[in-house]
Amino acid sequence: MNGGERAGDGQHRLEVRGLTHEFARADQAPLRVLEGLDFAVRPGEFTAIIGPSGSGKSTLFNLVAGLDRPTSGVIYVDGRAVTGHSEQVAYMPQKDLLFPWRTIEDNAALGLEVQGTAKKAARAAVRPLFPEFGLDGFERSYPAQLSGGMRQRAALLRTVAMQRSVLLLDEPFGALDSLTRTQMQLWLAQMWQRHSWTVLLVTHDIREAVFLADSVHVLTSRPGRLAARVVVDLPRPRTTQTFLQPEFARLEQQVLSALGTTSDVP
Amino acid sequence: MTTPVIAGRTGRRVWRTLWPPLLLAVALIAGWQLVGQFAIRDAQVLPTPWQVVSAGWQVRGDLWHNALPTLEETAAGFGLSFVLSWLIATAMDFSDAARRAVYPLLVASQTIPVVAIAPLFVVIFGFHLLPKVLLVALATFFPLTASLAEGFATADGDAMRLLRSMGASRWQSFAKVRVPGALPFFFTGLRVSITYAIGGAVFAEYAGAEDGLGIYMQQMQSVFRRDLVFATILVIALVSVLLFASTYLLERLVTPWRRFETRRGSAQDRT
Amino acid sequence: MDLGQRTARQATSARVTARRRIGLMLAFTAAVGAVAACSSSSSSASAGSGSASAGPLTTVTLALDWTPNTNHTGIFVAQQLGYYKAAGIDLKIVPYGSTAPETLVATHKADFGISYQDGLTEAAATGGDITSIFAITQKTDVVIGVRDDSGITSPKQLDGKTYAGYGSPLEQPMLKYVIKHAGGTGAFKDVTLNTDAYQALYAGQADFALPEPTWEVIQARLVGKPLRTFDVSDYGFPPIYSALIASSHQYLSAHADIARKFLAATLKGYQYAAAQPQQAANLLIQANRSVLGAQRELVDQSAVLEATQYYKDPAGKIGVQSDARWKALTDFLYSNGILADASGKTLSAEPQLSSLYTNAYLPASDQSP
Repeated sequence: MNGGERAGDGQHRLEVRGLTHEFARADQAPLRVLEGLDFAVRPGEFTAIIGPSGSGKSTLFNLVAGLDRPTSGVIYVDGRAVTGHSEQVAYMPQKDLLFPWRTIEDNAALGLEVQGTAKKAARAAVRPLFPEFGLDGFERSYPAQLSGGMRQRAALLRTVAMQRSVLLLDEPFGALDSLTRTQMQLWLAQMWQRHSWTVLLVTHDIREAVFLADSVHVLTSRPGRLAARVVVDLPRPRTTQTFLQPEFARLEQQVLSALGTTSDVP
Repeated sequence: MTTPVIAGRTGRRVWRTLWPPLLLAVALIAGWQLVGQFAIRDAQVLPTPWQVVSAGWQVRGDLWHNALPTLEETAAGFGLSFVLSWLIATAMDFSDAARRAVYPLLVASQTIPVVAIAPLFVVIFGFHLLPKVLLVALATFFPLTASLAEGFATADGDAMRLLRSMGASRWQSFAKVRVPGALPFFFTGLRVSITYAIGGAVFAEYAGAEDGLGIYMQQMQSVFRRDLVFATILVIALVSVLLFASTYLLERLVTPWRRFETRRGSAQDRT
Repeated sequence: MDLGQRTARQATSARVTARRRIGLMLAFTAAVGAVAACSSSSSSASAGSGSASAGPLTTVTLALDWTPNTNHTGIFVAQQLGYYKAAGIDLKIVPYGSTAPETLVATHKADFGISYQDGLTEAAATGGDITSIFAITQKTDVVIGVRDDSGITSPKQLDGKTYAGYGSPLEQPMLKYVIKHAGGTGAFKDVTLNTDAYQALYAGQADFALPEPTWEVIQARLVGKPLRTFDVSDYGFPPIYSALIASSHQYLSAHADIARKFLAATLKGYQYAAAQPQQAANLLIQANRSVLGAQRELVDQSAVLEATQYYKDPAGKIGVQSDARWKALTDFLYSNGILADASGKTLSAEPQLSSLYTNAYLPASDQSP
């Protein structure tokens, strides 16, 4: 869906240069949450962003999604500066944010509708995706009728249906219970395998980051800077077996220690 | 979303909701009958339920004939209120200046006693439908507008941001997020408002009308037919209840998704 | 794949999309509007001056003071028997409402109105454009009423008792006058009640009231709660034109001929009512079936009483007003400080009788009492 280019052809899909952001505060110095953040994501790369709380993950997320302008720095998509614009990025928020008054297929079609596609055509465009997302038969159901996991899948469907260059996933499985979360991670790995989306995943779960991503960017605590970029060269496709590999544990350790050097906890 | 909508197998559920108030109503009516029949024993002071119903049945033609104009005033006034409430609540949502200017006046409008202003309306607008429509609108306008404005204001900020990231214009966000989100609030206001509507129409008729339930009640009072006064009140009450119930039906039609919501917290707590 | 997956229930086949939802709401509003538009608003007053319609009939509006009763008999008789039509008049009766007929006439929203002598005088004092042109009742239509079994045989026994009134400015001074003239001191308690007088008296809420002999007193007798009554004129109180037809100077000077035709037809109606009370009662009920059909007995007895005692003056004439009577009551109102101008200040000069009433629009032969 998002171009079939695999990581490694050189051209960066998403680039962040010198990203700095601060919030003004009354009677105090402004709060700087990000400082000189630099990283790049190749087309078809799945990268995870991880960091301690307060490291500015959500701020980074808003900036890449084009909802805010950074205090300084530039964001490029496919080589074009898109700072402050949101057309290139599709994001999936933490809460599934499915509109309760819309059926699942209407929710899925929302992005297309907003961009001007007629309702009927938009529905027709998203319907073929339903079986793949495990939602076959639920097109005309309402979100209240679905379980948490199904709603996340529907939210991802909506995000993917917009056919934008970069997918931004903000802790998509955070609200699910542990068992469902693992199932969803396996499922997402399979889906990515099929579609090769360029994905920026923000998470606080090291295991999840290592399992899903090709690279893990570790942020320092506030102000967030890039502490480390851990390359995850585990074999693909990722399956339940991946969790058992010794390399998996080693990578987790690597991420953990990168995080450990940045945390304030002694 | 707070309150559950009547869901599930309608028949049994409806019965379960209805039988307690029905039982209470029957008990009250029985008490009334007993008091009227054995204690007061004077139809001029307190007619019994039976006298009220049989007298009302005898003049059912007149009651029907008078119910129509009252219903007409209620419907037209309420319709006007409805349209205005959407226009004004939308304006208030789009413009903060509008909101600050309009809201206090809105509240003030609720405090104007219909009784005082009705004769003024009649002198200015005449005896036909218009002054009564305006009075009903005045009586019903505030709850509708306030609930709708509130509904707009509680739109999920995150949902609005999501739409913005999708590239939606302000109008698109309004139509796709704020409006559907406000509907449940609107229906709450609708229910409150509709209980004032028919009372407003009756009061409006007192100011001057050819016919209508309010006029008929006054006329029966002036010829000392208290049983028919009660019968008219009964009709007014029945119509009010019907209107009130119809809001649930309308809500069901317009917001079908609420049927599937139950009184649980964040939906994401469930697996 | 999912745990805890709820049983999928499809939405109802009548799935309502957002657009159809809006459509439903609009349809609801439209239906509401259609009900409003289509309903026959059986047209009542086209308020305003008379020569509105282009046809041979001239529209004339008359505002009632109350729900239709036997004070209005002559008007409804004339309407039912076609007297107005024959005079080229299309009479539109403006129904009773909380806006007083005096206000409607004075603000020219109605051409004519039913009023009463003290009410009209008070309205004129504040500068209202109103004048009386036809006296409906030639005898005062209020009496002091007490329970028949109360043991009160003279108004002087009303000292210290409770009076249930309507809140009009004339009541207290009039009652004081009568009680004093009966030998009492004129001190009593005054409560304004909105219930029927005989109910209030029999429930013990009050000791005396001012019911109408032509209506409420009859009803009290019919339901077995009779009242003993005292005529105020027996104690020297000036007689009152308790029901009259009023109009505005503006209307009268602009439409003098129509006013004359209107009164001529009305007079014929009251003459009929005086001569044939039973048939007149039938016509009154026929014109107001839903209101008066519920109380035939009351209407019949009232009609007879009005015919025998109220419509005609001592000389047997109907509608004509006497200068002496206008002077007497106006004097009383003025000297008791009841008349106030528009700002609420008591009048410092007595109003001109010539602006308060006129017989000039009655048929020539009937213009003098």
